[in-house]
Amino acid sequence: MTKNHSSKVSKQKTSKGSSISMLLAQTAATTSTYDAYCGFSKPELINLTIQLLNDLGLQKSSQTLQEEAAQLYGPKNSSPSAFKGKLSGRSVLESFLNQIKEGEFDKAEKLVDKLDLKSGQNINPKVNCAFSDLGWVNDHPNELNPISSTPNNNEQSIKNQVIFLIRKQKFLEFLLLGKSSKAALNILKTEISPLSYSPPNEINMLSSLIVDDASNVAYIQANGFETNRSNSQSAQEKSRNSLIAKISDYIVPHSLLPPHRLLTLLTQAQNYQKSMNLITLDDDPLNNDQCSLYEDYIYPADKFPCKILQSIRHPGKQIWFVRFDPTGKYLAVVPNDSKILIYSVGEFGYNDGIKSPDNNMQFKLHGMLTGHGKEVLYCSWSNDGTKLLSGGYDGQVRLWDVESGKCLQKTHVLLSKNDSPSAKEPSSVAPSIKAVEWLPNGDGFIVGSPEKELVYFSSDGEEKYRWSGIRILDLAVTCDSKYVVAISRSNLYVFDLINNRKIRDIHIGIKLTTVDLSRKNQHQAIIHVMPDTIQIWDWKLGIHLKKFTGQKQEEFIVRSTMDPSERVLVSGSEDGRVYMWNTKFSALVLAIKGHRKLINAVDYHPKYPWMFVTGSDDETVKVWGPNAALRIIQETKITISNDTGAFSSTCDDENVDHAVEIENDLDKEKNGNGLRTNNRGSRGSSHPLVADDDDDDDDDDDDDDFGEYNDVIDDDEEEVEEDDDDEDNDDDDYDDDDEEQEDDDMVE
Amino acid sequence: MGIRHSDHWEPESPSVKIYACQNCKTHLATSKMIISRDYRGRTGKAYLLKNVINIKTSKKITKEEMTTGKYLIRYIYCHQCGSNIGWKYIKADERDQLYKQGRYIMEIKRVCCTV
Repeated sequence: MTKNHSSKVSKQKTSKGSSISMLLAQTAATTSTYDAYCGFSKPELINLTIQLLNDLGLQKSSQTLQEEAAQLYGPKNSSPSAFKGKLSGRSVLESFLNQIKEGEFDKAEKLVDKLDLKSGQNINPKVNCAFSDLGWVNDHPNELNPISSTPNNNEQSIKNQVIFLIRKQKFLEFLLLGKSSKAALNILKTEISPLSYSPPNEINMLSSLIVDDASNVAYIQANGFETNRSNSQSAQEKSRNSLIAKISDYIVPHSLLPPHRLLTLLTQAQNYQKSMNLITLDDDPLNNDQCSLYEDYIYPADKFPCKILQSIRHPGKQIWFVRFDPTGKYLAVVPNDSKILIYSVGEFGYNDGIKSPDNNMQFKLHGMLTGHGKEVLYCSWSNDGTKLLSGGYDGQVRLWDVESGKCLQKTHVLLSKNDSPSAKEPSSVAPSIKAVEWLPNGDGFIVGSPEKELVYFSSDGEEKYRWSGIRILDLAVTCDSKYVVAISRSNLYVFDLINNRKIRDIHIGIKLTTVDLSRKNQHQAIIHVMPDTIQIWDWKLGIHLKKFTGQKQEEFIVRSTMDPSERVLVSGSEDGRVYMWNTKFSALVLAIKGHRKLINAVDYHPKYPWMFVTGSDDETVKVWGPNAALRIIQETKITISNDTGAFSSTCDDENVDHAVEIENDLDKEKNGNGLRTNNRGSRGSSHPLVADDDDDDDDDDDDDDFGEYNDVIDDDEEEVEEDDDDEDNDDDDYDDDDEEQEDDDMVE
Repeated sequence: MGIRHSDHWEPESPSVKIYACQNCKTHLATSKMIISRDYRGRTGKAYLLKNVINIKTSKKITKEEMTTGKYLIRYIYCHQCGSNIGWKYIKADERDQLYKQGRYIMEIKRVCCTV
């Protein structure tokens, strides 16, 4: 490509001036085979080096190199001294740009002829297209680049365009920087209008400026001027720089080397290496120190959270929901129970390096919130992490003070359409609550119920607004507290909280289960769609952006989370594995066995990119940490008494699997490995983490308590409903055969 | 057993009642499904229904002797919370009771009306 380009240029230009860039460009074109070095043009490489040397302040070396390059590529009769004191290849251009900076426009105009200008085909209007801004949706079709809209782009026309730009600047300076409107008018009449390139709309605009210079603020600003007529030096400099930027679009890049070009290229290379590294987690500036130009950037795999640091067992309680508070101090754990457990977050840090394990670093039970009548399904922390909202099957929304464990407030959501219960029919009861979310600004909270209610409460529990008629299965609130994004079985809805309107209704699919919002871009909603899919949608535009597959989700509600830098998406799965994807490429980077049963919920620590927790049907909450961490190998057991709400915790040291793990870790220490220990190197894969880590972390020695647990529930029911013994027996049969239930249904 | 994704009845007419599990509000049946309201279950009044959704059935088939004859039944449970809802007729002994086969009994005390 480079060669073609330069040959085109050289064909169009006859040799003019002694600019070394032109010489180099021509040489590159004529003797391209000879001067290509690993596919790059040698003159380009030399120019880049010279620029770098100058940037580094090595003027002497730079001059030597210039002289050497001139001997190699310059005309034979020219002496090296001709290049002394000049930046290679930039003599004409430099003086041209200098003249514009100095305001000597007439002199600059004369140099336009000598400039290395692009031919029409090579001028690309700068398209503002960034994926994150969804630039392909052109909201301003009228603001096309003037260059591209000009049909006649031959060489002369381009020169005229450049001259027009210069004269326009001259005119505007006279007019706007308070010099003289008379002189400006004169320039317009004698210099701008007679030009062969003089677009009528521009001329009209310019003449209208003479009459009233504040008439078109946008136009003035587009030309780099301020409207307040400031005569300061900086205003003039700014407008002239803006002119230079515009003109540089017309100049062949061979002769105009952007500042610090080689460094720009190196930064791009590093960023590319980082982005191609699927497991890079954070934008930690400290990482750049470790980044050497001598080797490719590799995100240290031992920082990636794929090891279980702590396993907290809750005998008889499946874990349905986990959530860190926004300050990262506490973790709320919701078992399938009427209680909520609050854990203080452990200090498993990576930054401290590998410390010897210490009991103080563990997650510890901090308190328990009791009061709900039935199972809790969802909870939400206030922004300061002091209060918690919870809701569940009993239809109550409770507000808790986390430190004292007291329920501050109890709110019921009433059905808007209250059927009068007739004696014959079963009675109606309060709707169940599937989701409850604080507004991040603390002004209130939103409650969603599958019984077709979405209610906006003020922070003191008074109903502010209500949308009825949509079955709300899950909801999320945007960071700016302006919108609620909620899902029904098949659609995504967005509600405007300020104007109390429904503003979006997007059909997504058949079975939506949960919705979450990106914290970086609040228009991006992460939606779990059954079966087995996570999708990211831009709700503002209604566009499906990304899709993540691999995890299993056919019957249950499974949640996912993103790390603080939103580079990795972590999801639970019905097969007990934790799935992690790179969000940029939607590529699965890790599927690791963590639990024996369905993982209901995952949540990432709001601050630490190396910590997340998972909650599962196998009654454990597991804390995941960096691969390199030396673990606390104890398993914590939390036993909760159903009656009193008291709890006790014990540590179980006699775990065989874990003992093996201790040995492994000790081995590592013996080898003298520090932070960079990579015990997975032997796998020899480019993504060392894509591995089904079956070998550890499974608590196979524990009995399956599932059946027993169901017995507990049945007992509870029995107390209330006084069933006869026969049925109880049947329940037992059913429980034992739970796993085979589905097949049985099929047979019928 | 996690939180299951449950289907919902969406009757077109507001006069159609939706019956849900008393405990967890999981939708089970609508008044359109009712064949007869004149049944009695273990806990009292019960309906005979054409269809019930979001349930699990016991694997074991139970022999039951009722006032109208002998039946083979399977008990049905809410698939979310596991509460017993009633049963499903698998086989009827008496010839005039054959229409009950494949139908469901839903006990009124175990369900509630919802929207």
